[in-house]
Amino acid sequence: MILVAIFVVLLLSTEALGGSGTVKTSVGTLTQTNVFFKPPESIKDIGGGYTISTSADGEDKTSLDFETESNFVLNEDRTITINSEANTLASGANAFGMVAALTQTYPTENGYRSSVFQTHSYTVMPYLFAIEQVAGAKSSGDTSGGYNNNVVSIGDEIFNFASTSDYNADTLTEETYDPSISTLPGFAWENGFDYINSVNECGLDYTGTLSTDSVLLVD
Amino acid sequence: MKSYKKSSERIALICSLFLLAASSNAGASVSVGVTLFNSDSSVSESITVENANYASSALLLPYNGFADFPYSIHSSGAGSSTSSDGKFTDTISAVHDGEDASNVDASVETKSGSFRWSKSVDSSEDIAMSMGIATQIVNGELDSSYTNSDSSVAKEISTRNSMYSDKSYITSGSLGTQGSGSSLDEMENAFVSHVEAQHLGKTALVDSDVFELTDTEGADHKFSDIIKLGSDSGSLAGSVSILSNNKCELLPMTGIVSGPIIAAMKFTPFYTATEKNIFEVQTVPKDGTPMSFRAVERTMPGDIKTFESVTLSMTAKWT
Repeated sequence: MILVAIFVVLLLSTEALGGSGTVKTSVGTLTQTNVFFKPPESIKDIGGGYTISTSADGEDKTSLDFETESNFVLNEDRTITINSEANTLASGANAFGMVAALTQTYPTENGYRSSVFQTHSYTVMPYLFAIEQVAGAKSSGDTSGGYNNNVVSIGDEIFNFASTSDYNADTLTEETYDPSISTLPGFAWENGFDYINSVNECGLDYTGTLSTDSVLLVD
Repeated sequence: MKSYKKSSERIALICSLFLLAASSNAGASVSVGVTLFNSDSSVSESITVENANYASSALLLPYNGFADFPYSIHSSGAGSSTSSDGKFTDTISAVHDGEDASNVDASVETKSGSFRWSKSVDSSEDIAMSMGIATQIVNGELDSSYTNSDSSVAKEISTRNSMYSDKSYITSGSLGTQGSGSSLDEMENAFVSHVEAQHLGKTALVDSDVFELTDTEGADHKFSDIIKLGSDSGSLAGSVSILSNNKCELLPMTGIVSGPIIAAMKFTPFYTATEKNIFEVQTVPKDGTPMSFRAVERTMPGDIKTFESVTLSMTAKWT
């Protein structure tokens, strides 16, 4: 049994200052993909990777702190288990977004197979706000799933909203909203999850995708 | 270039043909067969219509370049259904100067639908033939097949409280078809599709189903398919989506409990000659169990609107 583990902790912090009336954007991005493993007895690559991107847009001063941690395990059946979590803090923003993906690829007798789990979340408000988002995902063999939990602060008021998607890809996104969000006219939140399975064997490349998407709007 | 002497040994024939097949009686069938040939080429056409009009014309010359015409045979035609239950089969085959024969065929049958098609054949330095077909069904059924010398596509579509339309274009070297549809309201709607593409020795088959077995408002659905078969590669894509309105949410049903809204897709790849699977059947969702939902009224404050969607999709490419 071969066990390969990669532990990555990166901290990326950006801050933008600008003159009054100028739209400023502060973006934090971390990308790490195609971390391939090659067991000594295998002539084919086995691998997995992840990509996480976050961004925040503001009018005057926007800051974004972004921290992520992932670990990889090579399973006995040559699939990869990937655990990943990202914690993002943004302030002075009126828009905040996140996209993330876990990817694993493993060889078969006639080619390659791969699975990808993706999630995205985008929050917009007419006011400047602070948001803390914790987004996590796990992919292992044929199963994958994830979640994103959000806490928005406007002054002393705090609002919560979150979504999850299970590890078997057989349920919809399950969202939870703080009912007090109805006091925020103009609030919008769009989020979703994608499960992508691919087979590339004998000259035929197949991809099957199950996607969920949800939009919440406050008049 | 063919000599005038050679051509004079053949019967110099310039003719114009006009064919009209028309039927207004339900179930009436009309067939026409035409063969045009000269010193360069031979073109055969066979058309059968049922509850459809068809008209064509042809110009036949003794050889390419005669009287400065850029072709030696030109034929074009078009037809359309005259009833919601109609059928046509149009087959064109041609041989140019001893080369291998090429063909373009289409067959369409609709129930509660309509179709129209057009085609043309030109023989000059080579044979150029094409056929374009458009179909539509509303709460009906479509059974169609499109073929050329290298590949074929077959579709069986059935809709309830839904509509579907597609456009296809066939030449001797390529075949493309694109279809889409949607529910007409949110109650008791259904879409069942069986799409099969044969190309380069491989067959890709996609089965798509979406049902809403409830008489209460809840969800709409949309679906699409795109197939492109070229000289050295083929591709196929299909999708099914379920969309909630702003009053309802899609509540997933799992385990032995099944909801009234069901969606599933299945992909079967096999070698055309042996029918042996290229790899095992793939499904969306991955575990082969259909997605199942219940649309329930969302109890949210009045100023909050939510919209949910679930999309199942498949793509395949092969060489």
